[in-house]
Amino acid sequence: MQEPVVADTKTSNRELLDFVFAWPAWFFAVGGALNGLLVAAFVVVILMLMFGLQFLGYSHPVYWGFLIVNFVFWIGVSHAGIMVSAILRLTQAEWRRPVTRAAEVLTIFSLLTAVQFPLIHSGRPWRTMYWTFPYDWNRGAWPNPRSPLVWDPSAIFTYLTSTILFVYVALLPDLALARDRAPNPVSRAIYGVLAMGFRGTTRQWRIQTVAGLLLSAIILPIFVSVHSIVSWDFAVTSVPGWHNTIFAPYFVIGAVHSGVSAVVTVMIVMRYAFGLKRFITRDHIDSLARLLIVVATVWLFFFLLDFFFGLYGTEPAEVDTWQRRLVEPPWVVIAITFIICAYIIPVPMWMFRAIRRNFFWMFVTTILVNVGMWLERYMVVVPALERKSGLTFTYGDYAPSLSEFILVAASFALVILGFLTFSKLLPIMPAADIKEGQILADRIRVGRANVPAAMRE
Amino acid sequence: MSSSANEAAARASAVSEMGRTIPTDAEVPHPEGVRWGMVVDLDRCTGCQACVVACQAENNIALNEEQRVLERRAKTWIRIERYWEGEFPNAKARFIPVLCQHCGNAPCETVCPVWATYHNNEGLNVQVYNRCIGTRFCANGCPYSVRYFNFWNPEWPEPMNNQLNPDVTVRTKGIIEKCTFCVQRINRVQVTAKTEGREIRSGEVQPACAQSCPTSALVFCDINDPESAPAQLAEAEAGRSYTLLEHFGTDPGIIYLKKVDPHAEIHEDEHAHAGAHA
Amino acid sequence: MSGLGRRRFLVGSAALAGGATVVACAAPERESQVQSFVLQPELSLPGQELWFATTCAHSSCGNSVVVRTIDGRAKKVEGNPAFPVNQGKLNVRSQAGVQSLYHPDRLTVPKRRRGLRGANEFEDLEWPAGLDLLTEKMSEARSVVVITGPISGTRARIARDFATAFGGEHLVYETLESTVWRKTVQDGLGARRLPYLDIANAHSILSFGADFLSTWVSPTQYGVGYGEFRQGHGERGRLIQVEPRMSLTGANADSWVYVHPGQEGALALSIAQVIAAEGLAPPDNWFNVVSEVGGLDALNAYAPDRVSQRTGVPVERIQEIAREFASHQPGFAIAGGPALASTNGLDNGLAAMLLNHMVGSVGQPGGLLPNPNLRSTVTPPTEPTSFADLAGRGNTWLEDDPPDVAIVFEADPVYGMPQATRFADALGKIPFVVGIGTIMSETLGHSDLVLPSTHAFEEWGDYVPDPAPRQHVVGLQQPVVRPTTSGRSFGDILLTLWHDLRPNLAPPWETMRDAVRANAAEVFRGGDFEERWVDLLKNGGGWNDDWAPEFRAAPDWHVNLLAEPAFSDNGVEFPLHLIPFEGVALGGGDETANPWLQATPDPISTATWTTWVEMNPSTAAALNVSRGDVVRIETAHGEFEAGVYISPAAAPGVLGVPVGQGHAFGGRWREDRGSNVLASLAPLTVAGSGGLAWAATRARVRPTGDYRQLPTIEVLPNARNDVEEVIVQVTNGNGDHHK
Ligand code: SF4
Ligand code: SF4
Ligand code: SF4
Ligand code: SF4
Ligand code: SF4
Repeated sequence: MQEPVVADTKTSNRELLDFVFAWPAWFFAVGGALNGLLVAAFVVVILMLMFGLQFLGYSHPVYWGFLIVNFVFWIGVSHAGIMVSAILRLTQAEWRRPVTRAAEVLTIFSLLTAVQFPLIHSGRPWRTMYWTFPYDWNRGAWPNPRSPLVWDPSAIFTYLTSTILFVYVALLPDLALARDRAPNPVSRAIYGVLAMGFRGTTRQWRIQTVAGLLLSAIILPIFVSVHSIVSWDFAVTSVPGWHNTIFAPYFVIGAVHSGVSAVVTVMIVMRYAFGLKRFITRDHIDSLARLLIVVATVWLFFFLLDFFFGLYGTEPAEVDTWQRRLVEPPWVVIAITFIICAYIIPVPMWMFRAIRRNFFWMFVTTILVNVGMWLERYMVVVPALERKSGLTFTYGDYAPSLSEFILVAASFALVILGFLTFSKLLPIMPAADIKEGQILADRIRVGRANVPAAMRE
Repeated sequence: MSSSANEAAARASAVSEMGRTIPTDAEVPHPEGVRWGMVVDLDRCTGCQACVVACQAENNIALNEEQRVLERRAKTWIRIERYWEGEFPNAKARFIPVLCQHCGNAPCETVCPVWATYHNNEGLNVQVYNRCIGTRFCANGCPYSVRYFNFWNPEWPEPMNNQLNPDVTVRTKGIIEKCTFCVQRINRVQVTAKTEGREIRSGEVQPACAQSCPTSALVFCDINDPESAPAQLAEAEAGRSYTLLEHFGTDPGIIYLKKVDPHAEIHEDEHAHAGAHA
Repeated sequence: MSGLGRRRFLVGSAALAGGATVVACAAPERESQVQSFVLQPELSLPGQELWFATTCAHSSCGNSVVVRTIDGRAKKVEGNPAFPVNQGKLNVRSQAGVQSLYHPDRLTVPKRRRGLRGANEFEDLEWPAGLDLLTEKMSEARSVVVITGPISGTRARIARDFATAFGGEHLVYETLESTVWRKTVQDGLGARRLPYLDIANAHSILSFGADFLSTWVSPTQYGVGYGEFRQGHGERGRLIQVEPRMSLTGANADSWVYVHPGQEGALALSIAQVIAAEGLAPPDNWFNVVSEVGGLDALNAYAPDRVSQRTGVPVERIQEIAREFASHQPGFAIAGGPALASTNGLDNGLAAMLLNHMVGSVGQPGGLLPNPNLRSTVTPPTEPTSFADLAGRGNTWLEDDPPDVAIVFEADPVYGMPQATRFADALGKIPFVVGIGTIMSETLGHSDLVLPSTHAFEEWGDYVPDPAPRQHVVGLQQPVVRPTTSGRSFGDILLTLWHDLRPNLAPPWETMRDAVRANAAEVFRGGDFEERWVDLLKNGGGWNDDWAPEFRAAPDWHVNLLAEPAFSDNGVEFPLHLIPFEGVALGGGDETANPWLQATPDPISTATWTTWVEMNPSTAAALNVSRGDVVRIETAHGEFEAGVYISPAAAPGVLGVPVGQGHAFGGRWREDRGSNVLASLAPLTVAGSGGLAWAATRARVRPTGDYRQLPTIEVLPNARNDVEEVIVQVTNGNGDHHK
């Protein structure tokens, strides 16, 4: 299978930590631009807090739109990171080593970004923050356990917590490494505290490895639950077009599709931006692309299932929703675009080895997948609300405002900025893991036998 | 100008007289407990909109300026929907007042994360403004689209604020509001009855819309009280009664009585695509 | 880590879970219930409310209302359940009264004109200065004209006598006036008062254009009856509405019949012919009346096959209407709206009256019932001045014989009179115009002195509803709140002037309150008046039941059987019929300043806040316009713009346009929105009555190329009941659905 990365320890240490301690000029340019977007979004949010949500494109009866679409999108993206990382860890796939950290970090920042959106989208975010927690003991005022909006925060925060733990455990050896190599006493002290006294003793390594494996096993069901629960935000209502039993697996597989694609995109960017050509290889994107072929096809299958279920039910409102999505003008354009972007273009291309191993084409196709997946979420959320029931009198449409575009753009800025900041503080490649891989790959001659230099635990 | 305070007091009608706009039946308590509801006779409703403005006035509903209407953010807790049938010269307009149905099985209630909307033990779908965090999930869940979001703080230019009803909260930005069945009126009647040590009389509670309706198309009642005039009406008119969007299974507290049209071809079932022209 | 072994962890968890279960079960049930703050009667402290009965000033029908006041502020207007006219019910406009009371753009102080008339440049004055100015002008005046809206009772009496005392006259301006209906009733029934329509007991109503459920004459009273008519205890009544533009009443009809404008009378006579020819009503009923209009031979000229072409109604349809109407008796026919606003409107009305005589519904339960004549010494009936008379006055003034002073109160002829009458110019000839009102209007804007008046809820008065509910009714008006502005009541202003300038001719009362009290003392004689007075005020007025007059026998009337309607222009250059209509909320436009009423959707188009034109899809297609396109509607007498509303109920070639918008004065919610269709009407009159033939104008339409989204509540163009799911379920009522 894939070749392990081969470099001597010194080179790996230097190259992997290089970006942490270096300050390239583009970093400031990109960071500045991203911050500009964030400031714009901040202004929008302040205005919304002060003057209400009148700046958004919502109206009666379409009360959800871009912000919820974006929430679902980022929750989806967050899925791949952890899934890729955990599955690969559990299956001890050797080629995982350079991939995992980036994937996990992407998860954390897309999750953190995602949770902003239901918050700012609600009418009174300051109350949303504390009323979704069961705090009000005196008055017996508890959250409503029947509402998916209560399940959501529970699932998402569980996921966030376990993801952070997961990343942190994996990060320990690297924190130790950074501590040992930090150029000044202050950062050395900080890394020292964070490293929690990791010195690389056998016992420490053993605990670290076992904890990593256990967390991988725990996190997989959580991850499946999270997007299932997000899907129930829609599925448990009686809104035709939302009220579908297939939603949970459909959402999960969609999340994996967009998430793995995002991981590929990010890795390709890292390869060039952080100078990690030695670590991120064609083998990696080839493997992920093969995974994507399967995921995309399953996703398409579920999409078609959703559609067929709608038709089989012959519920007029449901059929009407589908008719609107797949036939009527503004919607059919979006429908065609998302199917083309998320499946029809990329999957056939990925069939060719040359394309799977071509960074440029993989970059383009995975971006396309996420454009398509964003639109897919839009198709799920909005058209169902525009015509909810037979009361045609109140049918309405939805036109996002400039504010919504700014907020959505800023969400991308936030994730990228988070990623950049992380990579500025800590190695975005798991240095220890990679080195372990190298050691495992080293073989020594013992007599006539050629045996691995180290045995797996 | 020349009215002294004493004279003013003397001129005022007695409060207790006000409830008796409809002849009342005997005071009948009933075992199942109260379930407030309404019977809406579509054969009486003319679409005259009196109920709409009565509700605006009673419930401190913000002004629906033109821009709000254009944005589809106008708030009307009760609205008269007008549906067309047929074409000229056989075109027919059909009116139906749509307000919160106070569903016994309300899809808006289950989805609210903070119990800001819940069912009380008198059958009301209650909206607790103070708890509402404005997710608008309930508005999505409501198949009748009768929940309205406050996109801004309402404003009543001075001295228009004088007309605000002190019994009803003015809703701030960021929350959902909807028909309450004029809960403040129910409360007042309950307090009065309690003070006078008696049961509430059938017909004593009158929401603003029903009170105003010239044709008495809207009749408010305890639909669990088999003795109440509206309950009897619904019973007697069983052939005409239906609930809105019945297949959603929401168990509405509002019973509609079908419009009578001697020249109509009758839609055989709800989903028939019959063009009912004379 | 070592401190918490697996065993201890498990034990701890079990203890916690067990403890929680115990606590949860032991807790009283209400602890686990979510308590709302909405329903806590024991903690709520309702404010002290006082209810005052008074008369609603916002509809000419004279509804009595009770106003809920708390801490001296009016909160809510409700129907007065005791009052026999509206019986506790209200229409949109009465509901909105409280908002006019607290309108932020109300006139608060007197104003004197500074710029040109109509330029809206005024300076504020103190009341004494304003009154001095008025007194000065009045003392020099040789003649004075008082122009008011359709006021009633003591106020009307004071206006009339005041005008007489100052050598002038009292003109009553009503936007779309009821003159023709009054004349129809006078000629056709021989009654001086409008009849009571016994809608509740009717089995059928045949209405030629009378929008009695929306704005026509006394809509709340009629609405109450209509509910009973439909689903009261008797047979379900049938409503047949005949008109060129579907009104709200038409929208509720069991049969809605399109008729070419002005041909309602021909259709009525055709129905009469069928009734006679098919013997649908006993000849004893109608032989005499029919003889008076020319006998059966004359009627035969209106046989369905002869008028079908002319009226646009198929022969079978005419026969069906006749049979349905005649076979569901008691019932009655009425005429209003465009039917009476054609040049042959009086004939159309009388033709409808003929039907009443034929089916024998005159004076019968379920038909037209007589109302008591007024005790005219107390409360003179205020009949509106006809359009022809008013326009005639205007011409006289233009020809240099204007009165010296005009006092205008709650009337807006500058807005409502067609431009072609040059009424604004005529008013301009009057050296000194005083406008009295609560809010600016076009006419007040053209005045030299503007005096703020009290709102109806701040003043004394009385009102005689017309038509009355077969009883002698006087509604009383009392202040329900202290005046919120410096305004004074119209009656008080006139009485002050009167006592100052013509003390010898002045009535004994100094204030409106005294006047109202004195009149009440005269009407409701006997017993201890103080006690009576308080009772009257509490009840919102007085009425008695034991008054059963009859229509005067043998009315002297005829129908001009050959009258064809005349229109403003030929149908070539102006091919379309322009049918203005009063919307249920804005009516004639006097309440347009009120944001509740502006925002009230028109029941048919669901449009708010603007002026639109209802168009048949085919008319729109021919013009290549669709919903929201702005078109210019041109008549020979003016032009205006409106947004297109495509209505499946609109007749091809007919343009329905709502009255009420297009004001330059009147505050933030009224100014500069929509257009005034009245201004562009041709100044044609109804033969024999002098009313304005407001449905006799022809027009043409030019698309402007602009588009402005129509502010409708309906979102999809034309939500339909026969697609997707049927929302308004309908039964054909076959069989006996009553118990
Ligand atoms: S009508 Fe809508 S808002 Fe009212 S109870 Fe039912 S679901 Fe809830
Ligand atoms: S908008 Fe308010 S009432 Fe509706 S679900 Fe959210 S919190 Fe509950
Ligand atoms: S019951 Fe009260 S709140 Fe509900 S629509 Fe009627 S007036 Fe409005
Ligand atoms: S007030 Fe009554 S008749 Fe008028 S629209 Fe409302 S329900 Fe219908
Ligand atoms: S004074 Fe009493 S009722 Fe008013 S806000 Fe304070 S605690 Fe509440």
